[in-house]
Parts: sequence; structure tokens; C-alpha cells
Amino acid sequence: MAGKSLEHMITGIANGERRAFHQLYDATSAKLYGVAIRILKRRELAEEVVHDTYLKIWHHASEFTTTRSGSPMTWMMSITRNRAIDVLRKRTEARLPEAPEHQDTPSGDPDPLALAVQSAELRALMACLSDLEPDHVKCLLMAYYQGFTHEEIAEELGVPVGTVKSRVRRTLAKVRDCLADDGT
Amino acid sequence: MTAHERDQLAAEYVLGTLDAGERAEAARLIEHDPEFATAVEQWELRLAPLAEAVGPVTPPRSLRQRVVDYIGDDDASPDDPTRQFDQSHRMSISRRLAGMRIAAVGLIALAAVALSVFYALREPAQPGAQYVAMLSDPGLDEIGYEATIELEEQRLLIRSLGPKPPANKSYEVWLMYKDGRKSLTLGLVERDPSEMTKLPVKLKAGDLTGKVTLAISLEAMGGAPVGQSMGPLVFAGPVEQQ
Repeated sequence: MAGKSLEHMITGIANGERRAFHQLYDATSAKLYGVAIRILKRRELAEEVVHDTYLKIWHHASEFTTTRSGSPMTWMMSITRNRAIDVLRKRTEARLPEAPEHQDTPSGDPDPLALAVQSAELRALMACLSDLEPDHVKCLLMAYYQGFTHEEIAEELGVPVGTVKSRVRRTLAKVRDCLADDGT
Repeated sequence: MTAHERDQLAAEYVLGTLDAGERAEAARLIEHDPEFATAVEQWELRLAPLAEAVGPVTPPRSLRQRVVDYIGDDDASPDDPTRQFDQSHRMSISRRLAGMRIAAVGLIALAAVALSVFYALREPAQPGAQYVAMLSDPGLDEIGYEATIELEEQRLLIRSLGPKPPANKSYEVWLMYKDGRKSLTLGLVERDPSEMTKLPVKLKAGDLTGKVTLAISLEAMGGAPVGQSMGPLVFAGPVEQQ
């Protein structure tokens, strides 16, 4: 899935080419669905999020620019994650059923198979994270991959919410500084 | 808001730790505060590589059809009216589609019956066929595992979407039938599955057609001792040919 070809597809979509849209869907939907279902855990919610994501891509393809949005996958995954987290937060507020106990031990770890093929940007980010406290990094990864709030991470790890907030903020600050030093 | 506070809020918005109210406020700021919007974009770029590490999960074919139905199947000009809707119009369409989806449930149920008959009657699948099953918790319909079986290579991949077997317990994979055939064990779920493994039994296309369920049971460490599930089923889903 070359970034350049995805860019061409998005350019085509911005010009109203449905064929380009279909190609983009076929090339990227499994990845976006993987992101959504990892956060939401529910098939029907993940389908709604991916559905909405592609409609947004169709309507806003002309707004995509590599300078501001990053790679096409970065842009599309950001749309998917933001939508998934919005849905997750509303779901939590509506107090829908929580996951059962045996399922309530989600991994905050990245997928090892996907990690085997990683971009320079991911390698740089993982290098930054590898220099930090594992417990702190775990908080960040649980939030990113599972869509957990501070409170949910605190409950999961059995530590005070304030500790989680502090860990997350310090980790984010260090990531920002590390990537800036790295020139990324 | 100081530059530091703005950057921190942007970072946590992108990371996803804000609650619904805070997210709504951040979304409002993105629209009205260019500096905050830029900070959000920068954090998207910093953290987005993490999403690369999420394994792909094949969405149902019906999702592609739903998206295509909305967009249309033929190329059209940039002046295509489907691209000219404002946000409120799109919301209205979404609501109408949601209503149509509810109305379509009956039709889908009918189609499911028709499909099951079709699958039961049709010729056995080709040897190179791939089968998938999305395994969800029976009570909550939350997907925990995705399974892929490659018949020609006789290989199985069980990918976790989060859950792991509890400590001192094993998850065991089963093919289960509603027509009286004996269940088949396909082995234990690895704690950190990442690649295809050889199936422990030789499977034929007939083993995967008809009303076949792939299920995961919770067993004592090492799996069921007698080739028959002893523990509760914790994830299950129908096997579908790709």
C-alpha cells in the first residue's frame, strides 16, 4: 500500500472519481476497521465509525494536504480514531453494558505482526518510548489503542487517577521533545 | 489559555483521554482557535504512527456495500450533488439511512436465511478458499478475536483484538456444528498470536460449510483433556467463506 498511490486515490476522490474511492476503500478499510474495533470492541459501532469515516473522506478529500495532514493513512486513521473515541465517550455516558470480566484485560500493546513492518516515523516514535518508564508508556498506549480515559486506566492499573494524569502528561511532553530532537 | 495549556489539551484530545465534555470543548476550539487547531494537527502527526501497529481486521462485505450505496457506483463529475451537501443535510441523510437500516433488518434476516440455504446447497468451496470468523462475546456481541483459516495451506490465524486468556487458564478453539457432527478442536489460542499456525487436524471444505461456528472455550491450562470442550464458551462466531 504505497503512500503515493493512496495520495493519487485521494486526489481522484477530490475530483469526484468514485472508482478512486472504491480503490481507497479496498486498500484501507481493513486497517481503519482494525483501529475502530480495537477501540470500540463492538462490530456494529465499529462499522458505523468506518462508514462515517469514508463519508467524511468522500466529502473532504479536497482538504487533505500532506504538509498539514501527514500521510493519507495518518489522515484517515485520525478521522477514524477521533470518531471512534467520540462514540466511545457517548456510549460511556449512556452507561451501556461494560465488557465482561474475562474481556476486561485488554492489551495496551501494539500488534506484533503489524509492528514487523513499520515506517520510519513509527520506528522514531517507538525509539522515544523505549527510553521512558514502561509503566508510563503503558498508560499512553492504553489510551491510544483502547480509547481509555484517565479514570479507566487508573482502575485498570490500580493506581490513583492523579498518577495516571501525571504519567500521561509527562510521557506526552517527553515524546514531543524527543521527536523534536529527532527532527521528526 | 497559555501555550503550554493549549498544547497539553491538544495532546490529550488526540490521545483520547478527555471525557465527552472536554472533547466537545476541544472540538469547538479546533473550529475557532487556529493555534489550537495547529497544535492538534501536530499531535496527530506525532502519534499517528502508533496506529500503523494496529493489525488489519477485515470488515464485513455489507459495510462496503453500504458505503458504495451512499457514494454511488459510477464516476460522476465534481459537481455531483452528493458532494454538495452541507453538514446539516448530511446529518439528515445519516438519520434517514439509520432509519432505513432498521427497516432493513427484516430483509437482512430473510437474506441470511436465503444465504444459509445457498451455502448449504452449493458445491464445496475450492481448495484455496479462505474462511473467516469474527468471534464475539455471546452476551455482549463484542468482538474479541478474528480467525482466518486457509484451507489449501491448512493454516489458522487467531488474532486477538484485546483479550488474553486469564492467568493459569487456556483458551481453546473449536469448530462446532448444529447438525450433530462432533466438535473439532483446532488447538489453543496463543497468548500473543501473531502468525498463522498449522491446523492440528486436516480440514476439508465440507468441514467449514453449512452452519459452522468457530468458538473459543475457557479451559484449564493446557486445554480440554478429552478432545471435548469442558469449559464455558467465551467467544463464538459463524464461519464465512471469503
